Amino acid sequence: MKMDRAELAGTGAALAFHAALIAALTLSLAHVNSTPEPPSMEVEFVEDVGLEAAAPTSIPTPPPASQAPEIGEAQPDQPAPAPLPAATQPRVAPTPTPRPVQRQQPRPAPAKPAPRVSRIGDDFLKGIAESPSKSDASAKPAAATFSATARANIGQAILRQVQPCADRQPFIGEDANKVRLTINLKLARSGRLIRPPTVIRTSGDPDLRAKYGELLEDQVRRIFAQCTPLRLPAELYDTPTGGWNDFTFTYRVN
Amino acid sequence: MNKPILIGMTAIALTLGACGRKTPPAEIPPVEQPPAADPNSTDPNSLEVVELPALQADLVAKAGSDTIYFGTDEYSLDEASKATLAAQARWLLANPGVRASIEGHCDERGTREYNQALGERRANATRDFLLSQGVPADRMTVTSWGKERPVATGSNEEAWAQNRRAATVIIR
Amino acid sequence: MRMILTMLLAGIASTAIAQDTQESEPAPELVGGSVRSNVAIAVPVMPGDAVGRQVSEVIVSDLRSTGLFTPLGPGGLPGYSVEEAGNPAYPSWRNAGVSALVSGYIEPRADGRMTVACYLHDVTAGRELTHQGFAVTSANWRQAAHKCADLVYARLSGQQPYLDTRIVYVAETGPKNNRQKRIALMDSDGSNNRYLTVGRHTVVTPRFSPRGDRLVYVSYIGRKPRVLLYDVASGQERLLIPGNHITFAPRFSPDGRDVVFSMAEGGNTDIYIVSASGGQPRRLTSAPGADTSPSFSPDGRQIVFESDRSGTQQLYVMSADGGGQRRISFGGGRYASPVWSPAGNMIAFTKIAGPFRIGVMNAGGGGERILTNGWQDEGPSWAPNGQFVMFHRTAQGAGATRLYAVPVGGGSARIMPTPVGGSDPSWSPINN
Repeated sequence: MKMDRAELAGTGAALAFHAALIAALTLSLAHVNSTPEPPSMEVEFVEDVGLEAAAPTSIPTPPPASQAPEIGEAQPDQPAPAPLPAATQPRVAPTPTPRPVQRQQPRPAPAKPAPRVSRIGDDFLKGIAESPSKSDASAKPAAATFSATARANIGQAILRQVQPCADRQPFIGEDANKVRLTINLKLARSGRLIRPPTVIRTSGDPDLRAKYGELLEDQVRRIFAQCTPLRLPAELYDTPTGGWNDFTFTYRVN
Repeated sequence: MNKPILIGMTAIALTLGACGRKTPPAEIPPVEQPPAADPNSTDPNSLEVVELPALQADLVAKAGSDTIYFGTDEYSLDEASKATLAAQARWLLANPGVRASIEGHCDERGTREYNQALGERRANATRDFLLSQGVPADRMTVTSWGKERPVATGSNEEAWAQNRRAATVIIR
Repeated sequence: MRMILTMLLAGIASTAIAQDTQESEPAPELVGGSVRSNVAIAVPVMPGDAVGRQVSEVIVSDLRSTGLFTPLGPGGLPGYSVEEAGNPAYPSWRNAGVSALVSGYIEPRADGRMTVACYLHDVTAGRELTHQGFAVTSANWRQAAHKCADLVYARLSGQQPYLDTRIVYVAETGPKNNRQKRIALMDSDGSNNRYLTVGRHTVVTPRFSPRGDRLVYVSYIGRKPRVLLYDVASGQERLLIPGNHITFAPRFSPDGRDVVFSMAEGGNTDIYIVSASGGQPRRLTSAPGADTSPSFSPDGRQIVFESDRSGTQQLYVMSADGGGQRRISFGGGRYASPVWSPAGNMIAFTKIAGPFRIGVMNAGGGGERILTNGWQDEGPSWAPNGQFVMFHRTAQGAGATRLYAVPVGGGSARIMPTPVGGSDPSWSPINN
């Protein structure tokens, strides 16, 4: 890029001015006599919101969805229980998913009596499997679409699951119900949040927004810390037309 | 502390230091000279007033009473009060060397500041009547105790009636 | 060519419309509850210095007094080290059933003072909400504790702080017919109580200046109620108005430069204003009747006062120069001792309808709510954040008086811890 003299001079002056401005700002900031802060703390970005693997005690743990009936030919599948974080969550201490499969390979014959668990029921195909298992994949049609109906149903399912936690939130003020937050969630297949809820928009009177916005955001964080992981159909997690991996809703208090 | 506050406080301290004293000590010697020697003084201690108990007793003996009474929220004088005040006026005219502090009081059933105003109404009505009886204005001063000095301690009509009063206090 | 273009355009348009349809659906709405219950908040002993336990105790007491929290500790809670203050074990606190945690540490500074570091954690969400450090002399550890409690209160309630404040009031001792009264000053939690007068003269209605550096009060020195102007730091005082006048009901203007007050003369009481540095007073009211208890609006433009010019005590508002006097109380009964709220939107008052009760109304009149239910509650004073009103309550008969604070949003009045009886409280601004 060719610059003539005037441009060069102008750019030089602009650079010099910016340098001077930065220097002045730095110096003036150095003189700020604020309340002494303790040594700054490293803020850890905890991706796994909901630190403890809280087992969903209200719903009985379904069997590994693809446990075959009677014959006892135990499919090579991971050990069932839901509390184990899904293998798709890279940060969590990995469950040695491949290994049990290999270990179990030699077992099928002697394991005959074990699989005769009476828990197998009509809904075994609809099991809340955290990762698709073979029989699941074979039971469902090949491609799920995130239609408008599916979107609405998923939305209701999410909000229904967190409603008990929402109901417990404390009273914060008479006019707090005039502020509404629009929140976006990014969810992992496990049903947990990948990152803390993000406030996209806050609506309402500016003074009320200033007063209650942060408190409402606190409540949303608590709600999703307590009432996750969510239990949602795996096949609708991420489809070409959308999925529950990305969910936006509004929040207010009554 | 930032500059404006420091300057302001220094100014006030200098101003106050020029005239006031520290919080009054427990015992203040009686003021010998007539009160209000300097009408422009802002020294609180220039205001002390001396009561004269012996002469007070003489007033009560000769005039019958040093106190008159009022109805609830009222400051008008009834006939009994006027008779008492007429006798007090005669005593004051017969004892020219002393002054009187006319002091209005209220019962507890009013808020504090309203009662300070009501007490002054009662004292003022009393002083006006004494004026009409010939007592010179410069021998009387008016004050209000509001509800701060009840004589009767109950919370009933009898006690309240005793507290709604104007007292004539003999002072130097 | 045109055909292809048109089809392209149509394709783009329909995609756009399809997109639009998807995105224009309203987002589903989650509605949270409004459970009126106290937040369980743990305050373990703060490490780093022996005074840490007392600091935690003051924080617990302050948080309890707000009426919003159920504080736990410091006794009976596990301790932690200085290093752990910013990194608590959220899961174990969650298991303990607490929603929030106050942690921190105390460490000495090079200049001889100490730093009190204060952290607030949301235990449920497992994250820190805020932290701040306060540098204080070791003798002044209490103020750091009040500041920490204020940090917690403000962050969790959305309100402005109010705990690091002082109260000036009249301490009362003795029987009703020989009551000794002294001006007293204490922290808002009752600590550091000290007397500013010795009780030789009856004193009433002390009020703070807007910056908390001066007081006005009324003394019956010389057998007459007179307004005195008192400097808190030096103890120096002088008469506001020289000479032989009955003056009372004083209050500072919001800029601290003037004092508005009542003067009684010739059977009439009116409201005047005078510069705090001396000079001629200006008369603001002249109606026949008792005009008293003036109180400025926080913007300094208006004054609310009580007057019985209509026959009974009612509330009136006027401009700061005395113009536009209009009545604002119409609720039946009598109204007295009005005080304008710090935010300017409300007026607290004493309502006389048989008993005396403390109430609040909108600054324009209307919206009246009665907050207390004593026999004789009077003399309201606002907390600097407008959330509480302090007043005194007199008992029938023996006439013992005590200070109380009541939340403006509703709730029971709570007694203030004074060493002896108390009346006529005035709340300071936030300490700097």
